[in-house]
Amino acid sequence: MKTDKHQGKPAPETGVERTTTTPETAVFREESSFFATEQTSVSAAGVMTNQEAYGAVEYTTGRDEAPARQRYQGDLSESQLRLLQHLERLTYSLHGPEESLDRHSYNRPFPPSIRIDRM
Amino acid sequence: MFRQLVTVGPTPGNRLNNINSLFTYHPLQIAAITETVWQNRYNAASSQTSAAFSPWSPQVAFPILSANYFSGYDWSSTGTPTVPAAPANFVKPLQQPGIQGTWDGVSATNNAHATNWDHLIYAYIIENTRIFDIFSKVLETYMFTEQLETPSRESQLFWRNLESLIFGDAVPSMVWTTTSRSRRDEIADRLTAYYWMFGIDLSHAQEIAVRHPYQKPVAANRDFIDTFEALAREVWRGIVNARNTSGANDTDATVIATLARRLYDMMATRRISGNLAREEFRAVSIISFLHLAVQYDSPAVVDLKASASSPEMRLQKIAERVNLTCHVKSKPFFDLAAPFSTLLQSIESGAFNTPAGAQLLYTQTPPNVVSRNAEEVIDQYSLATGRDLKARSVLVSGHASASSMPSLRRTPAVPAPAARRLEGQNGASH
Repeated sequence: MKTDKHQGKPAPETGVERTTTTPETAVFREESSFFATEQTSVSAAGVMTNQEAYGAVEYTTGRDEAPARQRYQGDLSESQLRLLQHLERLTYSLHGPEESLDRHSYNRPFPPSIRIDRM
Repeated sequence: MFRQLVTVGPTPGNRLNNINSLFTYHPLQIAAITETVWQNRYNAASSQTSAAFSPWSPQVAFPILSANYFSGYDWSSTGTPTVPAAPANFVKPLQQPGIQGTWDGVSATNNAHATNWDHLIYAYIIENTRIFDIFSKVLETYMFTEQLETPSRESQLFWRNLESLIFGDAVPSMVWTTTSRSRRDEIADRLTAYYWMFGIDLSHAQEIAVRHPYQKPVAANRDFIDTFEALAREVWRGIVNARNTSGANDTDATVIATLARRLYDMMATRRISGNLAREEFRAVSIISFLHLAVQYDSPAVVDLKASASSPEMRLQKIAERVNLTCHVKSKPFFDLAAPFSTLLQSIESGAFNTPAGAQLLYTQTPPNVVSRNAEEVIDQYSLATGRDLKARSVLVSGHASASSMPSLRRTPAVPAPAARRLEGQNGASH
């Protein structure tokens, strides 16, 4: 790990010396050549092109369709079913609005109503 | 956290009105919301990782949450000034689905429902899109220049909340206040928390570190990614084999359970007695506030002329207004964050620590949310990182003892001298 002494930041109250730590790990790294190209592009369309090239846009898993043929897996035991119910409850409490928001993106009832009330 | 506030609850209601209203609340009301969500957390007790920190009591929070929209008086007419009506479709804080029906601290009946918020991995992944830096730059541009059009009134309320709650000095008594004179730099602290929990940095951490030098704890989960990827590959084998009708079945529930247990242990070790709980709460809260702002054509998006059909396109258009660019893989990041958060919370519940429990990750009869969610994580993770989790792990090694399991711990990085001194003085406390 490479460390450099950083001079620009005031020392914290503890008086402990701070260092700038050069990052060494990044899973979601931006590939240097790919990103260098992107840096020069300021258009939103450029990003979409890249994503299509990467295959992100059209990628589907078909996971909602029940598999037509399956290996016999046996029934879940009582304890497995209870565990599944617990996990479904945990999952439900993390649901977000992603599913439906974009459908309403162009129909924003609330902000116009502020203008109406101001008049 | 704000994602769950506007959607989950006994009565889901109109999500768009909920989010629009959230952005117009008084900062103190948003503060009371966060305290109430924490108060009702599902894991407040009965676990080695439960956090004991007390938030504002319901008696303090409820009067604030019950208040209606009230911006001032209308003095234009003669006589007694009138109070302008609340905007149509305005949702009071207490009526937000995530906290509706929680205990007010007075009533004899308590119909509270548990609240939950995302795992820290959600904040990590969304922040990789550079959303925090982009909104920070836009706010700065609004504050000091007229390069951008003057924001509308509803947009002004949003930016006020953003500045007050996310970039401002927080209320000292709040649970989600994690800055003080001894740790002033919240951005640096957040990067430290990411490294602590996952052993990895943001993709643009090098740029951030110039202005926000941060510490990398020696005792970090540096095995996280290796272990997770090994788990994901085994789970994918399980999904494939569950759908096959013939051929060899190399699914190994015991290996999956062992890897899940390893992830469970490394997370639990960091979280003992609620350690890092407030930092995680703060991080996912502020990132979800920003995330909501680009999930639809919100007032801030419209005023920045960034209307688009998806979050990543809106973010990119906003970034262009201030001469920045978002991460090119923002789409898989936005798609990965929520399922990954769900999966890691499930793993931390200990549900997959036994072979019987691990089967839920891939079994298809009955079709269950757990396996579908795991599959989505595997898909999106591969897209986001470029590492194909559906390919079998191949080790090129001259050693006969090479194992497909990740080693228990990599050779620890040599700590920086300052970090060594910090450890010596403060231990692992945070």
